[in-house]
Amino acid sequence: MLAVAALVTVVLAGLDVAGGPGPGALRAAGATVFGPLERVAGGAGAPASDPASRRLDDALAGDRKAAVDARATRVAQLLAAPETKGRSFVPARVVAARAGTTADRVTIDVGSRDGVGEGFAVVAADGVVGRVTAVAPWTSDVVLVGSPELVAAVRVGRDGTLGSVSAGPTAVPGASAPLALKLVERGRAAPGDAVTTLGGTAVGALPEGLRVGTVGRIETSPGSLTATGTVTPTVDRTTLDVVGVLLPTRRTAPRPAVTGGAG
Amino acid sequence: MTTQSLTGVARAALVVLAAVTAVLLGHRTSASLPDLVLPLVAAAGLVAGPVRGATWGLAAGWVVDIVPPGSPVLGTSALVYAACGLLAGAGRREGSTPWGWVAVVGVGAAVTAGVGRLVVGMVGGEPFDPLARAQGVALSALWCALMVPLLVAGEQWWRRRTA
Repeated sequence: MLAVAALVTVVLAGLDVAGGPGPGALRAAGATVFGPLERVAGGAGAPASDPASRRLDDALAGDRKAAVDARATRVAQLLAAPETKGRSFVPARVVAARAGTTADRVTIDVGSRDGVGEGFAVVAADGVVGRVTAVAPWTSDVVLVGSPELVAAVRVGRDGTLGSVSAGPTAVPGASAPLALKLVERGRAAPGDAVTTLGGTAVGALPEGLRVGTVGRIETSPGSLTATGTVTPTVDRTTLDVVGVLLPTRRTAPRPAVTGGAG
Repeated sequence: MTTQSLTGVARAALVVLAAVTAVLLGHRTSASLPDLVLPLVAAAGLVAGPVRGATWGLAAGWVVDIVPPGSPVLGTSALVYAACGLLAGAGRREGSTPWGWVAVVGVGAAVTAGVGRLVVGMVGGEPFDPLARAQGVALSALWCALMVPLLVAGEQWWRRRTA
């Protein structure tokens, strides 16, 4: 019996790594059962009957006044952030995080009943936070930028050099633990350059122009055509609280062709 | 309901409570935290033996795996805790067992869990921070050394009372 259970566990772990069916349903079941418990224990209160009109109230309810004031400030900062300008988003609170050496997954108190779906981008007032990876009715799991599970396509500096940002080579505890940067071309980026998301049309691609961080260090090794480096993230992953889940905007009309040399 | 069933229900409830508390605390602090579920697995192994210890470890690990935000790879915590339960069960002694030995088994389970997570993290490409990992193992070992003897004594007391 134990051997069979262990074997099934190994198979499911393999399926999860390979992205096969089954593990996603288990995650959803776990989130459906335990998510409301985390919402309540995390201070988010009972689920709202009308989520569309009570999201902000929910995010603020049930806390002491000082905490409410601080949270209201964070919500105001989020509303004023460039990441949310002109974009529809669902405000949320982080209610749980995976305990470990690095915080790379968190749970937020909004789910499918609030309009959140898998692959949606999550932002904070300072920049991009991560991507929704699993959704339950009242909660969602978010993989953070800097997790081994998430590689973000980015543009670096004024020239918009293409690259990617992933988990740092070593975990350094703290707010600005560096991320690993890989550029497609060497010599076009310098320390201090802004790093923003590239955007894309694929499901789960982070929207264009979200702040990821600034270039901390650039390393070029002889004989290599590409450059690597580090990025200092703009978002403090250790103190995440109020975040926004960006609702995707999909193009519905075909883009017309244009002819050059007319002007 | 039999004593064994009641004990199982209580242990399962404690596992869920510990797993949910761990993720709630994980959000509130960036400091290293002890493994709250591990003492329950180690105590189950010490009381029930290696096979049941491993079974409880597997079940408790699955709870840890699916409590949001969950493990990056489902099933990895289950396998790590199953190994811990197996090891703790191997440390079971018939008759009166010194508290010191029970604490040693708890520490052994914490080290096993630490090594298991290190292997899982390396395979999964997680950033490696030796200091934070060492702190986590040390805290878990201390927590197990304190809690496992208490849990084992509590369960033995409960069984004697209801027998």
